[in-house]
Amino acid sequence: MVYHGAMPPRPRFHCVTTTILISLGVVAAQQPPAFRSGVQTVSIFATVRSADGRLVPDLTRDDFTVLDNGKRQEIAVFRKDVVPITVAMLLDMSGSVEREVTGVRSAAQAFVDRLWAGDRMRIGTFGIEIALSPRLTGDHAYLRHVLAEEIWPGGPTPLWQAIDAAMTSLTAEGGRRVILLFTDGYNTGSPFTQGIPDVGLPAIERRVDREGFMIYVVGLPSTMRMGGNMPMNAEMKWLSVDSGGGFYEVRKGDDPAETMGRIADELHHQYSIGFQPQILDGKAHKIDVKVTRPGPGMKVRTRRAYIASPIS
Amino acid sequence: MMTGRTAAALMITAVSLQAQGDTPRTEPARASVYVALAADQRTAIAKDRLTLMLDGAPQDIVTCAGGPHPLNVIALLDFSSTMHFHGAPPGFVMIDYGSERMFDKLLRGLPRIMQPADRIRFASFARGLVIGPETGPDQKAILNAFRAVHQEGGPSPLWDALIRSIDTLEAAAGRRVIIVFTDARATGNDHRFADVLARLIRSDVAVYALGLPDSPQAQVIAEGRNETLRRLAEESGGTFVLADASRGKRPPKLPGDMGKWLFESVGAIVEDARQQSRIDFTPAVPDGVHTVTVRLDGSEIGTRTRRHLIVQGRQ
Repeated sequence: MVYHGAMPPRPRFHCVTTTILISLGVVAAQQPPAFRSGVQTVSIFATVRSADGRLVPDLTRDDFTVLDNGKRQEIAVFRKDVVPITVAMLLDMSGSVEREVTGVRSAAQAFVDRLWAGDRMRIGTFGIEIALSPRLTGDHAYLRHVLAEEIWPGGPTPLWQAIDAAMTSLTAEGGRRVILLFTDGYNTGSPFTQGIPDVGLPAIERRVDREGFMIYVVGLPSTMRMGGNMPMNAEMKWLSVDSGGGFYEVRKGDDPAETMGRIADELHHQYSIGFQPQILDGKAHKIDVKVTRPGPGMKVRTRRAYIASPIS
Repeated sequence: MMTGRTAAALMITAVSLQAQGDTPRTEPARASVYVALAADQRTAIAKDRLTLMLDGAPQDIVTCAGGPHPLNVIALLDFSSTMHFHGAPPGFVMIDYGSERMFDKLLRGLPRIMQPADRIRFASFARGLVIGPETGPDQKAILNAFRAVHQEGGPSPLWDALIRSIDTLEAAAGRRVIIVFTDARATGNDHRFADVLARLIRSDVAVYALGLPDSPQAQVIAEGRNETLRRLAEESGGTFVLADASRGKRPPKLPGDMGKWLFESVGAIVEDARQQSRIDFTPAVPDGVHTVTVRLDGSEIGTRTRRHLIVQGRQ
């Protein structure tokens, strides 16, 4: 397993700003119940790992510095207890990962087994069809049945449409919203997804910035592309890193179930941080979160941008 | 993947608990089951030639009424994306099993195979779950009813659609039948397969399933897909027909072939359901779920009926 978390910022940010200026008036930043109502609060979920990759669970509010477009912000909300997660897990059923379906099912099952009380999840697949289980639930038995009865491999890879549909299915939810993907990462679109908005990566990036979705990607080796083991699509890496989520590449001999355990563990040990932006200009703002506690090699991952929209 | 047998065991337990939780009463109510007999045995079967057993114990048969019975049918059609794109056989000829053309022969032939008292609804599942209005053997009404439920792709909430169809038939008169045409790649369901089995046991609806073989280019065979359809049919006293087994040769390849197969299969189903014998009896067993066996002249060979029955009617 190869983890790609500590990637330098890509030059996407300026492009996003330009794009979002055109499509304003959208959604206030995500506001989980812990954040004060009636006040614009930008929520950030931070993963902190030490130099040796272990989660660091004992930081305090004073150990963090939050910068909004380079200006230090007062931390208005800080929690380090477990906040339930809301997950849409998407399983790539396209022909290029068809032979991996047994491993995908086992790994997905491993994640279900690691859901805690209060966590909720729905399971989706994409291939010929894009399908999402209607129930958003923490009921392990139901989720196991979906994995046992509704996994059918084959077809193209309508990746962006599937992510968009999964995000939409969580729109009404508060708190931390996670899209967890198993995929080889190459969108092919699909002629068989009638009625589902035909979106591309830019639209997904906008939703990440506007609505605060965290994207976790478990990258599967493709069995159909040239040489049979093409590297993972870089777009998926950037998307996940920019969202504050993570990207894990499964390689030959790796156990995807172990990867799922790592992701579940991470999601249950994140810091919830909120600040109230002083300027609500409708533009994309860059977020930097730093850990000031002395110590070598502490790494923080959070979303990298938000849209400073006034509350309507 | 959960096997049909495991699902059935769970389902029977669940249904038993539900049935036994009801208040016991004093007098057993009359119950009835439909039984399909070989074609040469369908008419005027004397009741003393039949043996009906619950959990292996013979029951007191009151009457046995042979067909024809008026039918109340839901034709449940899968218009999900996988039906519109059911793989590409060698030569890359894509079959659109969800196209209107596929159903042309069936739609035009239905008035001929229906009786005046028969009623049919079309229902479908894909992006939505649609159950259309009831209609009789009228050509124009049948075409309109079909078009009202036709869909162009989406997921496959097969289990939810079956449960909704069973619920819809609950108050219908006549022999209640669901004919489902699907590739059985169920997705996006609120209900599970076991829920459908449990619901079937509580109803007297027969499920007849028309399934499709795996596409020849599939790298991974969709194991268990058609087994679920077979289990539903067996549980309810219906039949399961796989497209490639229907004629003892290769699966129909062209829309015209497939349309003909559909029409012939539905015709056979309608005849089978219409001509079943209805056995009314007085159950002498406790409330609960019981296995059903029917024998003709002492043999189960040539008889087909539902697998389980809930006795819950002491009045």
